Amino acid sequence: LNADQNLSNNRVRSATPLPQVSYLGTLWKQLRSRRVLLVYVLAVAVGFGIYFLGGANPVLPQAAAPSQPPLSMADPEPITPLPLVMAQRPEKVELGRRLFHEAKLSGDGTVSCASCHSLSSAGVDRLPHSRGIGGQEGGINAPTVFNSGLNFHQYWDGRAESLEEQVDGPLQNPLEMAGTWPQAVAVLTQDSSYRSEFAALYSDGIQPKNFRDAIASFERSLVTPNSRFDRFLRGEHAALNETEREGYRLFKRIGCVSCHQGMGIGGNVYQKLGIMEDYFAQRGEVNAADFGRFNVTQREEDRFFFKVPSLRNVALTAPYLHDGKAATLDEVVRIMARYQLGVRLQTNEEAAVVAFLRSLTGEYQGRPLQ
Amino acid sequence: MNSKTHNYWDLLQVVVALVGAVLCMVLFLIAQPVDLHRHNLLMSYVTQLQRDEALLGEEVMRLDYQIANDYDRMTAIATRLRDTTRELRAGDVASSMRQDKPFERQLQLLEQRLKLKFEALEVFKSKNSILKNSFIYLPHLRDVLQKSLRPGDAIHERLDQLIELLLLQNSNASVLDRGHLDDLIVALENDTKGLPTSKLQQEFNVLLRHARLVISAAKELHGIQMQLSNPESGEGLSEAYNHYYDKQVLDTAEHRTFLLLLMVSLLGYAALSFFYWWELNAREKSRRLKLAAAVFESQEGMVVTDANNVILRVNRAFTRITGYTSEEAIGQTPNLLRSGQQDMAFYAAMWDDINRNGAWEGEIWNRRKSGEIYPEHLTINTVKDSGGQVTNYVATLTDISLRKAAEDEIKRLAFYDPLTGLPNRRLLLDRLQHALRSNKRSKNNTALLFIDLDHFKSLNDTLGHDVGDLLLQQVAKRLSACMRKSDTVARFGGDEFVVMLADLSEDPSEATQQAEAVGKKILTVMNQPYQLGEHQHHSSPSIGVTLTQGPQSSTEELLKQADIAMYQSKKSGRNSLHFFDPSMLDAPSQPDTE
Repeated sequence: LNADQNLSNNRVRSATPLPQVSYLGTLWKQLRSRRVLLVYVLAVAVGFGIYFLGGANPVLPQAAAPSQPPLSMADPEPITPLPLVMAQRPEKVELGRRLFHEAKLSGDGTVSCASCHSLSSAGVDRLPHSRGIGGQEGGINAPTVFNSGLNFHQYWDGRAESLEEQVDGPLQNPLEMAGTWPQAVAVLTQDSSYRSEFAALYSDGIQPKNFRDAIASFERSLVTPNSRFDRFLRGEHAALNETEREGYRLFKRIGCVSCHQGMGIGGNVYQKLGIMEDYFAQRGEVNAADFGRFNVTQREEDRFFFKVPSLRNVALTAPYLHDGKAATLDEVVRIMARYQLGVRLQTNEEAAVVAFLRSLTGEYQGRPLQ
Repeated sequence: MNSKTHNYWDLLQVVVALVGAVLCMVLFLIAQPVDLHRHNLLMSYVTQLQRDEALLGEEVMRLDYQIANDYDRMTAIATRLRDTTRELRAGDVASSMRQDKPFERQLQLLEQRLKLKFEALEVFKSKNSILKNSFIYLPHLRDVLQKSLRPGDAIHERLDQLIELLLLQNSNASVLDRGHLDDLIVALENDTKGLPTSKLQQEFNVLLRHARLVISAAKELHGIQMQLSNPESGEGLSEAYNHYYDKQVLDTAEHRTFLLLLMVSLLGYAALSFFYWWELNAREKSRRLKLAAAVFESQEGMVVTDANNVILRVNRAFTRITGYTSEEAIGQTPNLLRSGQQDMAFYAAMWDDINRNGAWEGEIWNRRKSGEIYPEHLTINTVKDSGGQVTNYVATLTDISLRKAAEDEIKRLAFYDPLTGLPNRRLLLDRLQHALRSNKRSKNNTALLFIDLDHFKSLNDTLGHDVGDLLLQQVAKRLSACMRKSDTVARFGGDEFVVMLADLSEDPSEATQQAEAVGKKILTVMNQPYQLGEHQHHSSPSIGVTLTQGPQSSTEELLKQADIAMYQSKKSGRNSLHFFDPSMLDAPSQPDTE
């Protein structure tokens, strides 16, 4: 009997011990445990939530459609009024304004953009040639910064294709601000208010490209709408008096408007100075600055070509021409008529054109430009 | 499979599944021909380029025909063309495209073409302005001059002709007859010298200057207009991109196939794993069942009943032990096995125990189907559900009748002499004690006869122990045969036998006579010849007898007395019988040898 019992005991023991439950079996058991299941369901729910609420929404992205220039079959007038509102981001404009007036950016900390383009004097310095760092005289007349955003290219010779590109010029010109980018960035970085303002607008903070963007934004905001002439164009006939209206008629009839057209009344075409007669032969002392567009393209046919300047606020931006040789409006009108149009104007005609040009002065921040 | 390799195998499975999943994700990412957002932007840029160039051509025509009279729109279009090209060159959108050589080449071509175009555009604007100015001025100037000239003059005629030709060529530059115009201008220059006033001469010179400007500008413009109104921009770029896109699509189609295959195989893998696990579970379950069955079919009888004690299942050992087959047992209660050996109180106590402790263990008498009563070892356990309610009773029973027999055997070995089957010294002493105790009550006498075989040693020495054993067995038989049931014949050791005669008369002398009679009988019986195998043998015993003298006699004392008396017989020449006499105690000590 004992032997039998032993035998049966042995049999029980020698039967395979319970085989190891497979990994998947364990996994399944864990899955079945409520907590794990709950976590799993939650994870899936969160995943789907992110998918549906988050950026994973596979809506076909639309390319930002660049604004289409307005198309009209025949503009009745070759000149269009300035828009009353110029949309720019206010924070950028304000940062740009600060930078525009920041003298610390120049080599010796004395010259800012505003030194030559003062907003209180119609964006110009009213000198034949500007004076930069250390009182050095530049080679050319400073154009106004007002409405510079309307120019198709910048500088008299159009060597910068945008306002952003233009920023580098005066900043680094040894005759103007004589600064460098590393220096400018270092100066701005020392100032905590600049640091925070840049940080608020640009993810990468103080960078030359952000600097350019801010300055350009500010400059684009410098439009001077609501001139009397613009009001006239908008239908306010009485905004111009009889002489001024006659001046506009002459402006169109004698051909000024061939080049001085569009919203900027110029600023969108290159033209040779001296079409009908040789301006430089008469003036003498031809220097490199007189070559104009040639300096950029090196094409002989571009010699003496300049960007046709905008005539907006022209009454306030004397002296005139790239060389600053025309001190008054009468003088520059005479020069233009003679050399560009081959016209000799009567005194009354000249007065009318000048009167018309004086009606082009617009407003900045609601006040007439000074 | 040992557990270690089992673990590695599981790990391998998990790793394989993970690698498959990661591969799936990677394939999914590269199975997209191009980034959808960038693709759309790029397409829109290319479309924009084409549209803008068309618009530019259109604007050139509008300006040429003086439908438009400012350059703002043209400038805006040109700026946008430039910006779009820059975006394609340096922007984020075409970043993936810059490695594509055909696209890069087309982009370079486009940039070069646009550069020339923009230059041409500036020339166009300048010349167009001059032309426009001239055409505003020419009719006006003609009016002024003609007022100062007589009609019919040659100079008047030529002037009219020149202005008409110039105005005509404004509408169609191709009809310009340059030679004729040049001739006219030269002729007019000569005419100028004959003009009456210097003011008039000056006016004429301005007019001729305008004429020359118009002629040169018109010729130049004609070529430029062709260049500007050619809207092929973006065609090559678009083609290059489409080519690239097609290539990407083909590449990714392959990836997608791989992705599909991988996903299908992963699915298969998952299914396989599931079935593997399923089968493992099933095998596991059946193994457990088999194990349970094996355990159930043990050597011990097993009975499973429900809570009402109705038999649900019995095993084969049960059938072997009780004789009832499972068909006979199932549906009955274990009362089937009741032998009636235990009373109701026993069962009540048993159930009380089961209900209180959940188990009972003990030995009871049961009845087999054959009616035979047998002892069994019974264990009863209760099975309870999760609520604590009894669902089953499981009884394990072992037939212990064999064990009982074994116990008897062990007892026999302990109290009997294995050679002769006679009680051994221990049992004799036991019985003697019993007898002495009962003598106290009954006043009966007991006699001890100490029997020693004469010359037994020499028999052993001459014929061997086997023959000696045979003699001992035959002696035992003869002694047993002539005794009463109540007497005990014991083998005391070697060739010594002790006979105890219980329940002799109360009267000592009578008891002595009874003992003597038995002694004499033994002498007679034992003197009969023995047939020990082939040997004829004669043996005689020496017998010493003693009687209990009153209740104070001890077993040791009696045995000693009988022994002493037996020695007396030996001394007196063997084959005789002597009663113990206290005087024998004074006799010289017993010889060491027989």
